Amino acid sequence: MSPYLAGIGLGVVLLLAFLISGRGLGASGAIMRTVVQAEKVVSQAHVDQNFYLSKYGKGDQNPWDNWLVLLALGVLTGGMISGAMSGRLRKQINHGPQISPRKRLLFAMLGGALFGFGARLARGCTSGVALSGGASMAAGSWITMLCIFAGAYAMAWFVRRLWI
Amino acid sequence: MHEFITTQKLNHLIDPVLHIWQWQIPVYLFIGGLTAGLMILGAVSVLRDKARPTAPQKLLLFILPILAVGMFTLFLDLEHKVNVWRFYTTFRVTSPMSWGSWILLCVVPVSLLLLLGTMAENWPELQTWVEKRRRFDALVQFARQRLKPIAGVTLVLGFALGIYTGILLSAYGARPFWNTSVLGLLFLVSGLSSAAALVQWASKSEAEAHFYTLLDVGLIAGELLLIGLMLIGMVSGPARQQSAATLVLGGPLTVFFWVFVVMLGLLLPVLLEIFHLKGRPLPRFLAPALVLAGGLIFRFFIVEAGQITTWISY
Repeated sequence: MSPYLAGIGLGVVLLLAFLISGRGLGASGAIMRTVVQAEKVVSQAHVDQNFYLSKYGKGDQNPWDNWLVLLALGVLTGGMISGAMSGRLRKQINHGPQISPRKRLLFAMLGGALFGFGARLARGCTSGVALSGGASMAAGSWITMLCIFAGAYAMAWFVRRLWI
Repeated sequence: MHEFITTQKLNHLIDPVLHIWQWQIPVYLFIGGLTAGLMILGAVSVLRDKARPTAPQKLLLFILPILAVGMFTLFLDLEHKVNVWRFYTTFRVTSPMSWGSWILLCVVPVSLLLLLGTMAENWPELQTWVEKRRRFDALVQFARQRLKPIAGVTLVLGFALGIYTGILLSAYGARPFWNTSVLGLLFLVSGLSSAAALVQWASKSEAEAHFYTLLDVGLIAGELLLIGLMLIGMVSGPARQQSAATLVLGGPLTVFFWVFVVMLGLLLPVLLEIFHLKGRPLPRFLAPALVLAGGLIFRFFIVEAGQITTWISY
């Protein structure tokens, strides 16, 4: 599919999300709620005592009872359908020529953990700030998005060996 | 004085714990349906092709181990485990549990006979192992000589087992969400769909896998139709059944039902199966795994939904 068409499609989805649910798209919230759910299984007492976690999973409260979780599930399902339609649905690990798949997975996990930590510090991730904030023309969102891109380009220099 | 009038024996004054079925029952119902489906597909394969190497005939080997797991979970659910043998001291024609107990008992020897009759073509290693033990000779000879009648009985028992798992629930008059005659047929079709998915996964032949994928697409379409009919029946039924239907039409199980049962458990696998039929390369396990997971989730949903709904408010 043309990336331009996909971009327009994403914009339409965002518009529909605003119209139907009254708010924009986000992604990291679903992961955070899954983490709370996992912590509930291990220690409900810990979740109850922790100020941050208890907001999402105190007592009988189900952290997954939120539209963001379903949104993330829909993204995964939609991605799977899209991959199946175009015959790309297969097990593979994309990595640079200089590194092994294991190293790629290790750095992906490290990057993901940093991303998740940052997203929680900032109370949202790039999809929230760039898509939802950007679409509502919030100046803070645009500035943040530009800073994210600038930060990513600066960081890319140090980790370029992972890809080239 | 607090006066309580009821026409139902199932109420909190008689039985204080009404929400008693946990994971064991849905797992058993799923495995029962899967076993029934495997019996039907295996028997049809024997009736159509006699004994020859086919995936449904190969899977006959797994019927008893799979069923044993299901019966174990059923056993775990029993409150008075030592009394289980009492099921076999009587037969009550009006009791689905009595029917189920006897059907399950009959399934064991009949499935075993069908396996013995087809193992030479499908499991030669097993045939060699059995041949070394001369005491089974007469049994194997009996099974091979009467293969088609045994397949016929397996077919009937498969249908009985598949339908019984639904009637076990639909016979509960006190549970409006279960109390629908569609449930028996729905569980049978769902069990057949799970079995067809397992067969397409296990099949070594592309043509055979293609046939069972096509069959599963039809079965899932049938399931969707039956779910639709069940909901229509409820919505146009008495007030309590209308109220039971609201459980999935805006009530607390709406998201679970439409997202996990309908979309992820039925629509997504059928879509992937259609892509597979059209020749798109897909991981072989994906659609069957989703169908099997969908069947299990469906049983969890039905068991939970039925226990939430009631005819009386207390």
